[in-house]
Amino acid sequence: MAVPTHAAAPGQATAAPALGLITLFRAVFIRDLRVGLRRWTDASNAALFFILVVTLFPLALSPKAEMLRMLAPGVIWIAALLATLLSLHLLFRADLEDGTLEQLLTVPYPLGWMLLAKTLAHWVITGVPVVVMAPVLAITYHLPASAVGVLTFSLLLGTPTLILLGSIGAALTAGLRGAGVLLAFIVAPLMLPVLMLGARATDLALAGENVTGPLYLLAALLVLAISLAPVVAAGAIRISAD
Amino acid sequence: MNGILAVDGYTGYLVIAYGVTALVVVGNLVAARRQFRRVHLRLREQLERRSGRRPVPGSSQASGRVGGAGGNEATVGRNQ
Amino acid sequence: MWNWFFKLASPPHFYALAGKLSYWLLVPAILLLAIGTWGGLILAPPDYQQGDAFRIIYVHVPSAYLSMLIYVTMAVAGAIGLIWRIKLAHAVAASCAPIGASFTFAALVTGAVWGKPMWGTYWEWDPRLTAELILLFLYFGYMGLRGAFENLTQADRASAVLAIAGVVNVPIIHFSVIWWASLHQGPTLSKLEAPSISGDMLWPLLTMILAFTLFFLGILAMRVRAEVLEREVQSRWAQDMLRGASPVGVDL
Repeated sequence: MAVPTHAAAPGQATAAPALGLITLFRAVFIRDLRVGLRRWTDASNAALFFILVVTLFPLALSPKAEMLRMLAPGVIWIAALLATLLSLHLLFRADLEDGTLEQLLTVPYPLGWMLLAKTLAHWVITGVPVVVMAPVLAITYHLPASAVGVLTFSLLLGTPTLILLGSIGAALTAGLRGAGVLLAFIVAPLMLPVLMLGARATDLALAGENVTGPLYLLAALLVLAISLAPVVAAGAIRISAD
Repeated sequence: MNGILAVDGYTGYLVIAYGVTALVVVGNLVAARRQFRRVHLRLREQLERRSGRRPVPGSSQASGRVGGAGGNEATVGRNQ
Repeated sequence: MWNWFFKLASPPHFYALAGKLSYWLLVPAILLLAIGTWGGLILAPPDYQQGDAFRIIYVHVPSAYLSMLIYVTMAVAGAIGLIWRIKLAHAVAASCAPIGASFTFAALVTGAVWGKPMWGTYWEWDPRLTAELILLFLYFGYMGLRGAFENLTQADRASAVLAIAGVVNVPIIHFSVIWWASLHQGPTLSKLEAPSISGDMLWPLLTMILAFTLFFLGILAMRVRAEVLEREVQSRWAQDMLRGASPVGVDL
């Protein structure tokens, strides 16, 4: 597991915990991975929804190659965003139900750090399938190889950011009844820059132009999200779990 | 223009724009007033109901406990 | 000096003060609205390029500016409530939301109506318009989140977090006309440069901006009063006041 190069989430306890931070991260990550995989039917919803949305557009609009090629960046990115929104509520649902969330609040380990591990596990389960499926679907949209590469890379950078931003909304609405649409509403405005940059990068690749600008920005947003989102989400969890 | 209200072909747009704004302004006034009236009346009724039931117009803690839902009825989201 | 501040944060004092304050704010606001409208519709000369259509600026710009000002106020009030746990701050934030949403709506509609004669279209997905639409969604998300909680404290704090997270949208709206030179025209009023608009067109605009600001503050005072009353219904001062035992300020 890559050692994070950024400073750990601020607000952590300064007293040395019994577990080292890396060990803690790995423990939470593996545990959440296991829990998520156990409920793999839920987790696969994201990937399946992604495929479904991407499939709908050619049927409704037009299967012509030139049209699909033009639409591909936006459609595939929108589908990825929707798939992310769909499975965000899973992030805290299991722990809320069995009381683990309250426990997480009481242990002397930095909550933001643990949430980062949780969110990363969630991304592995729901985001990585999307990134893996994307090139296949992009080819069905007649995207040339260069654009497919850029699309996949932008999704690789973007989906973790989307999930990190989404974790804030999921934390705010954890445990609320009927939180699904509300969550989408809250979180969508935050996700827009990622959507725009990802689609734009792919568009540029399609036109054969330089893609470094948007890709750098996507990377920057990812770094920003990794450092800030867990902290905000931790604060939100504290509010929700009261 | 010079004082005459005859605008060159843009009347419709101006009417809509200023009209919507006027509606928003008046709407805010009306809504704020209604909200206050509603809250005031509802709380006053609650209070009267409670003191009506009790032989002694209780101290604030006593009337606060009875019909405890009343206090928590400071529900959220009733702002219009 | 801080005494005054903390006294203000005490609900009964605020309640009394806000009652008088709303009169003192709303009456001048309405007057200035009338003067500004008169100046904008009648007195200002027609624009060289846009003819009389430009007069929409006198309702569009103040609405858009208010929509952003109110959101920032909401976020700041929420932050104050979160950090210093002052309940009045949360009451202010809650009261801001419906006002802000209505003026965002006004800004979008007046903008669309201005867009038609100007650019030939009611809507364009250009950055500033889209960001303003996002602002409307943020307001609705805020009110929706508030409504979803049964516990008032949770609602206060969760919505404060949301407001703060969303405040990043406001500078995007404001600066988008500079960052992406696209359909929407550049800024008319800038802090650093002389305004790109002639004097007799300018004064009604400034009047309207002032009028809208006073109006917002007056309406806010009214709403926060109601909010405070509802939250403090258990307290002695509120019950005395409701029973009519002690008059605490004017009821509008």
